Amino acid sequence: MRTLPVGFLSDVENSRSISARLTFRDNRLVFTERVLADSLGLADPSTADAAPSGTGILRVVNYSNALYTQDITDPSSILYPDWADASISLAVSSRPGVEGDRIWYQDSIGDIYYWDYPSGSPVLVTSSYAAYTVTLAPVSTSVCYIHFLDQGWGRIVRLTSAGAETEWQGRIYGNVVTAQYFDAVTLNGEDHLYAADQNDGRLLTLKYYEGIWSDTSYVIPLDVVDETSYFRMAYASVIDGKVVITGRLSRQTEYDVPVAFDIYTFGPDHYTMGRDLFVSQEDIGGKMFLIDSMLFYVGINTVSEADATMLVGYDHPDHKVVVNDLHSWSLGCAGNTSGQFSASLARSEEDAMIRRNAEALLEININGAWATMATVSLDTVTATDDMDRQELLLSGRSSAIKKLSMWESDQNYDYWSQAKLSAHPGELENVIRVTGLWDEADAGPLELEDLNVDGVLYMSAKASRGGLMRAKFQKPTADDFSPLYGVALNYYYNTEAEIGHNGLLAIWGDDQHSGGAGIGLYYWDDGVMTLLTSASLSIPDDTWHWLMMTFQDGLIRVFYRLDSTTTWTSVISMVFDEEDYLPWKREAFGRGGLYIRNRTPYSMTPGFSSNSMILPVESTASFPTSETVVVNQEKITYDGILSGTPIPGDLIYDPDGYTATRATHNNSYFDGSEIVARDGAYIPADRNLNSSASYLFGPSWKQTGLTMVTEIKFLLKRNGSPPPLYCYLVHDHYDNQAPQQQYVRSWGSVSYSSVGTSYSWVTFTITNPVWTSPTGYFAMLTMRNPSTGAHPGYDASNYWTVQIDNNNLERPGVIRAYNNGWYTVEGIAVPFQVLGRNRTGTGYEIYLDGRGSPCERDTYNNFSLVVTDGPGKGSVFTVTDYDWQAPNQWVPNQEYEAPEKWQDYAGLSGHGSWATSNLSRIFVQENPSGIIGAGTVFRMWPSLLVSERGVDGTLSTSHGETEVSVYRDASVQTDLVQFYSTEPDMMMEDIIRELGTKAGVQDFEFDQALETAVSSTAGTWGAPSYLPGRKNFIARFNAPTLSSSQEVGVICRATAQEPAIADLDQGYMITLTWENKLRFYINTLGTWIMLEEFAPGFSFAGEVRISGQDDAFSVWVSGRYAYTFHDATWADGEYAGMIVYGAATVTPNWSDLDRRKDNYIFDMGQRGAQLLADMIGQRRIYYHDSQTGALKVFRSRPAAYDVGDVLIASNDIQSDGAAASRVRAEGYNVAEYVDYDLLREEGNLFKLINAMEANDAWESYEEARKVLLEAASRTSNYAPVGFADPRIEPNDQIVLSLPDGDVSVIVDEVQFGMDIASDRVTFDMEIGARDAEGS
Amino acid sequence: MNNYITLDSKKYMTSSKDWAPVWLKPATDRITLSGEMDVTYGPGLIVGYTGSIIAPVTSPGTGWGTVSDLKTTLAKRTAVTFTAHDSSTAVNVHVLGPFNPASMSPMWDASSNEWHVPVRVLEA
Repeated sequence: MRTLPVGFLSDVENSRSISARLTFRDNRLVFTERVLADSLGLADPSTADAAPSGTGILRVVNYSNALYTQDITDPSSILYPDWADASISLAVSSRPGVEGDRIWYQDSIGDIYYWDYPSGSPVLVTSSYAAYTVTLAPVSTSVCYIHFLDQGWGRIVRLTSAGAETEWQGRIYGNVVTAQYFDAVTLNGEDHLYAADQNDGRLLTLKYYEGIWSDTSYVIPLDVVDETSYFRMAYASVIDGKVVITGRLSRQTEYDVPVAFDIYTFGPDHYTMGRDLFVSQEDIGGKMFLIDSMLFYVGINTVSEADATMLVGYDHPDHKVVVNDLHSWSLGCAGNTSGQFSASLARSEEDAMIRRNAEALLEININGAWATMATVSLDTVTATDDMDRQELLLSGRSSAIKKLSMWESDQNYDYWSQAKLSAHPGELENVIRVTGLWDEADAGPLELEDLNVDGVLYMSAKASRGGLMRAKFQKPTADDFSPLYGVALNYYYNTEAEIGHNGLLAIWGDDQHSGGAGIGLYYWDDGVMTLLTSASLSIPDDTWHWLMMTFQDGLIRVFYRLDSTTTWTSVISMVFDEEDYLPWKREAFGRGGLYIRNRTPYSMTPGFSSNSMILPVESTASFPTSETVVVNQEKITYDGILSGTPIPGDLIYDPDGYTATRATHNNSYFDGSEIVARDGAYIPADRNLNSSASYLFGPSWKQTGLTMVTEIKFLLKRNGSPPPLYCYLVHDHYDNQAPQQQYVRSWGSVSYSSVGTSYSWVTFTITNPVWTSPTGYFAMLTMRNPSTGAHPGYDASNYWTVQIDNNNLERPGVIRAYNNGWYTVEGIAVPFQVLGRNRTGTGYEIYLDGRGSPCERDTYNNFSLVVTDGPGKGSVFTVTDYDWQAPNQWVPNQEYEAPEKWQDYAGLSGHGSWATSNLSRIFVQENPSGIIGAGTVFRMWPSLLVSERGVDGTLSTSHGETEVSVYRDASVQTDLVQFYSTEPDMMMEDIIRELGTKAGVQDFEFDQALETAVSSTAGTWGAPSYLPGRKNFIARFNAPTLSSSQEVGVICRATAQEPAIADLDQGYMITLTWENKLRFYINTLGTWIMLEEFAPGFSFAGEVRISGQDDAFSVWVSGRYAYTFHDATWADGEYAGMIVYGAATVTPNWSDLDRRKDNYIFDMGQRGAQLLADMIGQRRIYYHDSQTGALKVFRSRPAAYDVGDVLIASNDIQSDGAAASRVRAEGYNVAEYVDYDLLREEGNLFKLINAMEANDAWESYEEARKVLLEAASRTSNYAPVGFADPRIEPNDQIVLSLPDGDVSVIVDEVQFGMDIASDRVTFDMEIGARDAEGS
Repeated sequence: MNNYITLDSKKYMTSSKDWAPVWLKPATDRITLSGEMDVTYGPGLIVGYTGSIIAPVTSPGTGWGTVSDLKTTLAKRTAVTFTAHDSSTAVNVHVLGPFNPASMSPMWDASSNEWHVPVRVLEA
């Protein structure tokens, strides 16, 4: 309903006089630039600041680190005065600021001063920022904001002229190399700040209001991957009650002609990007001022000027013309579309202001009083000239919707409401499992089945930078069980790119704070955790509790609450300030996350086979001596630990390593392994040793390496009591070269008392055994004393008899007897055993590159040798022996033709020489042949000695690299995870306002659902002011100043409008308290209890927004996210309203369009009007242009009013063309509404509507219900005609006086026409309406 | 009181049979659905004359218009000056048709012939 002057229609029935007039305005801002004479030769516009001063502008600049001023008394003059040196040295690259003739600057030593131009004295404000290069942006003479980079990130501080400092809690993160793209203005008590997080990219804004800093938001909210536009801010100023941001818009183009120009945009909160935008194609980087009738866009050495128009609130007489004589005009108005205007004027009225895009204000006069009928924008101006007449024909549309119709989005603008997710962590559709094996619980607590594995889940809610993440945990009591668990934000993980865990992580553990219990706050970068800070916190076992982390613009806070209590404990509060590290891996892809690590003693294993009974582990230090461990899902018990330190580092297999026969060896510790040189079956025979000169040369053997013979055994018996018998270990040369004795290497002896009279193996223990070279040796039995050379005489009764083998002549050993000379007795062999040690290790030999450190050969026995790379990777061998330096290597000096090979000649003179080995050998139990090869890399690991595999019915399998954990049947439990981003919930009003503003609309009229002040008295809850139909809602009000015990807030989910809240039997209350806390109450069967209380950490002032959506109840204060409560008890109850406790009063401005809009993208190429229509869809939201050109949007029709006795005709039209009796709304939720009366009366008329925008099933149901009601009302239509009632607008409910009685109808469209001729004078309306009954 | 009018600076005689003043009050009257009279008035009162201007083929003297002069005046799409019989003050008027000139003689171009041209003269 149009607003008309009081009494305007008081005397119009039956007769009246009429006329009309049109006022045309050309509101365009057409700038022309001119270059200024620049006495300093300045180039960078971001080094200066400017502000209105008297009748002109005062400018300041940092030129060569000195302050210069320019006092422009007449900005329109051709010549600006020269810059004047203020004789003040400035900090390098600092930028001074000016406001109200007060100049703020950072001097050369970094102190910040102000100086009242021109005659004041510098006053020191602060010395706190000497370490930084500061950009100053004063908003008044008493407040100045400073912006500077610290650790690469932007900080912002509010300074007062008295030196008080208040720092913004956050940081500007991004690709910022200068702080100079920064400015601030004050408007209506709020200070608006602008800073860039990309130098040529995006502009962030935040505000400060009565002690509260808001969160940041983007001036131009681009799609996350959009690179179409870049906007580099120049400056901000305030003109006509609006913030004017200037800067340079650059557009991405692949053609070699850049698209870039300077623009202005009006704000704050929503910023225009419509038809009125352009300043100059030159890169001026100016600041906008309105001085008298001119706009000045002042750059560093260029100024652009434009006549001011009504666009900036100035009614410029040169841009306006009034036409009083109209032949006729018509105005058609229908719901949710632009009004259509046409008019006819005399050609004589032609004027430059009457042009396309001119604004035309249509006013009507009835009985001498004027009223505004419409504000339109001309589409066409047609000058007709025909034989009958000369006329000026105009057509146009109501101006706001025309802007929407003509505006086409030039990029993808992306808008999001708060992401909300509360879920059981086992819900796979809501909580994504990244790592760890989790149980399948979807009702009881979820547990991580793994031990010592990082179990990570993340929330599937929309990604965001920061937010609130919390989870409910319980940890069990168990020995050797020390869990870690917590919550994460900005979490990012990309398996395809092999990027590990990233984000911010708050972990509780019993060692997280200086070794004690507490919270550790980590920065997680590609899987590497870096501790940022920690705090002490003890949490009882077996008790449900919450951990919560928030991240807002760099401020990280961690909280803790027992589930049984209502209040949170703040544990950590810090600002993320890591140099060179952003607080997110991908700023647009951060998620809320949950972390659990069921920690028991553990170590990594490289893997082992399914039958291995040693279990290689990286370290055994934390393992008990015997325990059950779990590897993957297999339980294994062990009963021994191989402690010690393995060989560190990689061990490289050397395929050329070879132990040649007779190789020498330098490793004195490697004294060989026991060998048996001779053994086996034989055919017994006897040979007596009874002569003093008798020698029995026993077997010979050829050693394969250095050998230390320690024992030699023969089958002997004594006869009588012979003298001792000696066994010489004799070199092969003994029988060939003199003196013979030099070839006796060592010997052993036995006496008759130790030998029986029948054959038995008799051991000669070699005295002083020595290493013997790999050549031929003999064991010689004799009774000659090796020390003295004496020997007994012949004794036929007392002698020794040796068992000989008379049946194996082919054995390599020969018997030689000495009897006045050497001779050989062929065909006789002696069974014997030579025991000793040689340089061959125990097990299978593996050569390794490089010598090791000297150590005992059993040092690493039973350690695990693990192939970590190359052939055989994953194989594990058990170490049985170790030779830290391999035998010397034979270096042949010639080549051999096959089948000969150099190994056949190793050690032989003339074939080469020995070289000291640079290898080591390791011996293993398992045969590595065919497994390892060139390129094999080993690591040596200690081991657990397994006693049983596959314990408790688990499957014994091979394992790859994984953890070996001491098994405990224990896990941290979690049964609820919640994530909320910080973006304020957008209601329909917000997004329509944003869309309209983008299109250039600056005036809006949104109906308020609740505006009446609500109050109470001391000590009581007042009667709520209820609104129906608001199970979900977004309430809005200004925070009042509260005193002791007072609270204000929202009551919701009530099923009735009970004045006394105690009479309700269900509901919630979300309140702000006098202590700057938020409270969440629940009513259960009439009893109210407080569920939760949270202190956001800042005072309450400014606009409060409380959003209740299903089970989430979020609060924002002055643009800053405060908190989200959660409860799912009451899912219905459609009454919500304001509530007050105590003698306080709150005045709401609760929008009638408070339905939440989850996400909306202004797709590039989409027209604004189409976007608006798509957004509204079939919802009962109505809009049209108001008479003053504002976009008027409402959901509730104004109260019905009577149209007087002005109708001269009417048609009553019955139709079922649009009828429906059943409506089904389908979107994410499906709901169907049936009107059974209509079903009976009209039959089955089904209608399907799209409810993709509905937030839940209830909203879908409401959509269906309203659409059906709307359809039902269209069965009975009216088309009255009569004298115009200019109040009537589409969707008004009016009462028609018809011959059959009064009828209440809803106006769908109305056509006004005024025709003034000598023989005809009319101001009529034709209405298209429908029965209001039931709608 | 003159025996002529002055139109567009030319004098013409008018026909006594039909020349008369006109006062026009722009308005529309109708009956509403309730049977009441409904009148909408336009602004102002339109004053003028209606009747026939007598235009001779040949000018009777200096200052007097001919049929040719009258035709030129009537073709103009702007207001022209007009002085009534009873006035000495010229006002701007719109001269409106339809013009249905009638010749007094079958010899249209006879020098003695006169044309009678009905007009509506309304003050601008």
